[in-house]
Amino acid sequence: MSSAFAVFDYLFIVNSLGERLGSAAGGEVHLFAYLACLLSLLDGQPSAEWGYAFSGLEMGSPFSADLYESAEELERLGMLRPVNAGFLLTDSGTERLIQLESLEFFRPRLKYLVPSCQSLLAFPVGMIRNAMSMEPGLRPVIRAGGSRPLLGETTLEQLHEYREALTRALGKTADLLVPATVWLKYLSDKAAQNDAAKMSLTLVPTT
Amino acid sequence: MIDHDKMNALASQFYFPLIDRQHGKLGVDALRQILGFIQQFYLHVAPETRTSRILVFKHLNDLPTNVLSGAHEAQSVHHMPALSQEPIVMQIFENGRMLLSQSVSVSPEGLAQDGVVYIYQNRIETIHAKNEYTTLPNPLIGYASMFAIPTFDDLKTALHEYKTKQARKCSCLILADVWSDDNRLLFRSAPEKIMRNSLTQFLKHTLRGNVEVRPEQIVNATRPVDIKVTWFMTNRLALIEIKWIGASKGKKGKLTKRFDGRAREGAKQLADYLDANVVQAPVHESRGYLVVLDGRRGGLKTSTKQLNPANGLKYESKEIAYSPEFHKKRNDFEVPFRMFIEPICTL
Repeated sequence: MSSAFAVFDYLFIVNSLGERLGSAAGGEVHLFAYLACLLSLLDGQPSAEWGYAFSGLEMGSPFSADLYESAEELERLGMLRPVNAGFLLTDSGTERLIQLESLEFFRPRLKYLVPSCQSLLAFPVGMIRNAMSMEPGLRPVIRAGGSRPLLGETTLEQLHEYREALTRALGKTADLLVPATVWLKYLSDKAAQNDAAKMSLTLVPTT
Repeated sequence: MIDHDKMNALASQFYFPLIDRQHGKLGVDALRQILGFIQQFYLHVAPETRTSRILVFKHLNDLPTNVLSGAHEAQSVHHMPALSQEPIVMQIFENGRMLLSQSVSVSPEGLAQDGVVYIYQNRIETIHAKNEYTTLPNPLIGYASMFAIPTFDDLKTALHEYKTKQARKCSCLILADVWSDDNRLLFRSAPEKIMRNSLTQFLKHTLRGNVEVRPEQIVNATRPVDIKVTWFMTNRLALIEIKWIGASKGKKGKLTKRFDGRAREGAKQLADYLDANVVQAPVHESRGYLVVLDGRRGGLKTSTKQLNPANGLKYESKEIAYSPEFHKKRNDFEVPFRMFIEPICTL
């Protein structure tokens, strides 16, 4: 049985990404759900409040078993339909999302799901994926390889430092999309620096 | 370790904090609407084809501006009139309606007092609020606007886009660095690393889905493959090998010429990588992509500074004969991509 939060998040993200990108690939749903979870932590919410956990996959991508189960359940119920390499909501999926969105129970999550998906207004999806590879949870997964649970104690401490740094630099902002985009831009620049450093190191001459 | 100076610089220069600082919540909402609109607008109008300014304005309280009274009104971006090359001024509204004029002259500063203004001109984008403005960063410089960067579901389509939009006229600024001269006649010494960086950056930004793009990945004991693309949550992966043909100029001026045989060597190398990868990643469904950047020119000597079109484009349509034809013999080998890079020719 998948978590109610994961079902709601899956529907919401597929709908938002569908509007912007034409469809939502499974991995993208996990990525934007994880970004929403991180935004809640940067906003001072405790990690346990999110409602389901994430792991880092070997390639450095976030993954949630609850989201995965939700996708299977929603597909079985005919609420998702495959499009290209991803999904869109069917009419019954859209109806279910509207129904769930009206419930008070899910409303606090919108504060984080909305800016997570709206970060696509500011950056191409590839850039967001690249930026997220530098956030404190996924970075060690990429460095060490192998899957591992995300949001351990060290990661939470580092996220807290980011929270303080963002607050110090930006002061009080009117909208969470402001620190969200600044943070993603910061991580994206770090990723570009990291790529440039890696690319200048030639392992073996490629002739 | 957080770089606080960098964070502070972003806080003062990045466009989201600028709008928040000047206009608060209403401004950020207006900015959201402008960004959504621009992405739609550029699906209809390619920014690189515009020789004059594009200005988009959203009033904080959705009030129409006087300077656009009498402007063309459209229900959405799908209902725009045909556009001339004159500057474009557009005001957008909450309900998707828009006013468009190609005859009025407006001051961005004036409009920005009560709203958010976006301007595109000569491949530079700026955002204005009150008396402040900032230039938008563009992560993929080969594209005129960061809001017009396409995304691709599959690698083959992305490679076709790279071939036509980035490689053909060397629009990618990273790739532009492979030449030793301004007319794109001779590659510089050892240009392959630059080529790999260019294609890696392009794929990282444009490929979407459950995908990871990494340069220089080890697949056998002797050499790394140039780029490895892995689709997680599935068992698919792609190996990309890049080769160049044409002539390169060494540091002491010596020419090194590489002909079709070099592309055939690349095909053999890629076939070997695919075989080795079966051992390394037995559960993966791997596919090989050979990318040949073609800088062949006719009548080229060390002293050549310019070429006429007959010589410059001599190899434009000259395909490479592969033997063996791995792309026909193996079902894991894509048809090679020959990407001809045009020189700048004299008439």
